[in-house]
Order: sequence, then C-alpha cells, then structure tokens
Amino acid sequence: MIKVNLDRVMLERKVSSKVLAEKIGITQANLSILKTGKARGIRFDTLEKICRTLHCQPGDILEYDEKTEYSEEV
Amino acid sequence: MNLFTKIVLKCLSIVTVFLQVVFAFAGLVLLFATVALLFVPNDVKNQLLQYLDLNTNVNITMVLVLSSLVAFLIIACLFIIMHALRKMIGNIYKQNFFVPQNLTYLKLILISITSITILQFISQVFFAKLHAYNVSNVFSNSASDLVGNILLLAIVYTLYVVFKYGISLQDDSNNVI
Repeated sequence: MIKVNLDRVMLERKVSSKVLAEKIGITQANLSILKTGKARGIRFDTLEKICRTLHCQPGDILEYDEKTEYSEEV
Repeated sequence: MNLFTKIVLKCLSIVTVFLQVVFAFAGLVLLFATVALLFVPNDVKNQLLQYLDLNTNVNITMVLVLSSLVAFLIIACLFIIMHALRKMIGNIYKQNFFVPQNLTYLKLILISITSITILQFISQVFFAKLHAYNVSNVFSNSASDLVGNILLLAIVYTLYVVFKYGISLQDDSNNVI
C-alpha cells in the first residue's frame, strides 16, 4: 500500500497542520485524513501545493510499502 | 447554477406546494364524504349510483365506500409524491445533488407511483365488473393510463439507479483530497 509520510516531512520542516492547511487551501480535518492515510486519493494540485509549501518531492511524502496490502475500508 | 435553472426550480417548488395543498384538501373532503356515506339515507346513495350509471343489484354502501377509499389512497400517494419532489427540488436548489436524502425521496416516489398503478388497475377491474365508466378522473379509465404510469415508473427507476451511482461517485470524490 501507499504510505503517507506527511507527518514526518512536516516535523522536519517545522510546519504546523494549521499553517499547512491554510497554505494549501484545505481544512485541517481533511489534512488530518491525509496524514493518517485514510484518504482514498490525493489530487495532483493538492500534492503540488504541499510540495511547494514544504519544499520537497512527492516521493518524500508518498512511499510504496510492499509488506502491507491496500484495504478498501477507509 | 444559472439564473434560469434557479427560476425553474423555484417555480416547480411553488407548483408542488400548491398541489400538496390541493391534494390535502381533496383527501380531507374524500375522507369526510366516505364517513358521511355511512350515515346518509339509501335514497341519496341511489342518486349517487344513478350518477355512476350502475345497476342497483350491488351493495350500494360497499361500492361507494370502497371507491372512496381507493380514491383517498391514490390522492394520499399523490400528496407523498409532491412532498418528496418538493424536498428533492429544495436539495437540488441548495446544490446538494448526490446526497442519500435524495435517494430516499426517489424511493418514496417509486413506491407511491407503484401503489397508484396497482390501485388504478384494481379500480379499473372493479369498475369494469360493475360496468361503470368515467367515474372520476382520479381513477384510470384506459389501458393507456396504466402504460403511462408504467413508463413513468421506468423513468423514475432509471433516475434512482443514476442517483445511486452518483452518490457512490460523490463519496469517492469526497475521499480524494
């Protein structure tokens, strides 16, 4: 499954959830869903905004984990 | 949503409110008439049967009360359809298209149209047996009316399926951030 490492990147860049949510134009609740990996998908423009704000690459945020399988339940 | 659509939806909403009032009034009058039929003298009932052009061999009270009850049920279904339609139009006006509430209203409309079709079929058979025709516009007078109802049922069912799929797509879209 795809793992979301947004929490780690935010910690490294010292950016709070509130600031990031405001800068990328989504609610804190949606950002929390994204961070916990409960989202079914991520839009390219959201990913672009996150990368621009955190000065990182999509690969820093998303990681493919072979060991765990994708679950339909969200 | 453009202005034209908003005006159309508002007009439809007003029409449904007006029809709801009309059906509520008609239902109440029918209920009153049905209860009154149990108390009026037989002469008056015979006059009613003359209007229906029926032979008098049948149980007068039973015929009149049964037909009134069927008419009341049809009007009640029409009232429910208007109520559900008004609520759906309200949701669409607020741009809440694919919400589970709309699916519930569509289900209600489907059940009501099915009930009307069945009741009209029963009344058609009932009146045909009594050789009474053109009793009231509430009842179906011809097979084409029933075919029309079945076509309407098919259209609403298609709409129901589309809305059901739309809700799952909306849910999917809501989970993409």
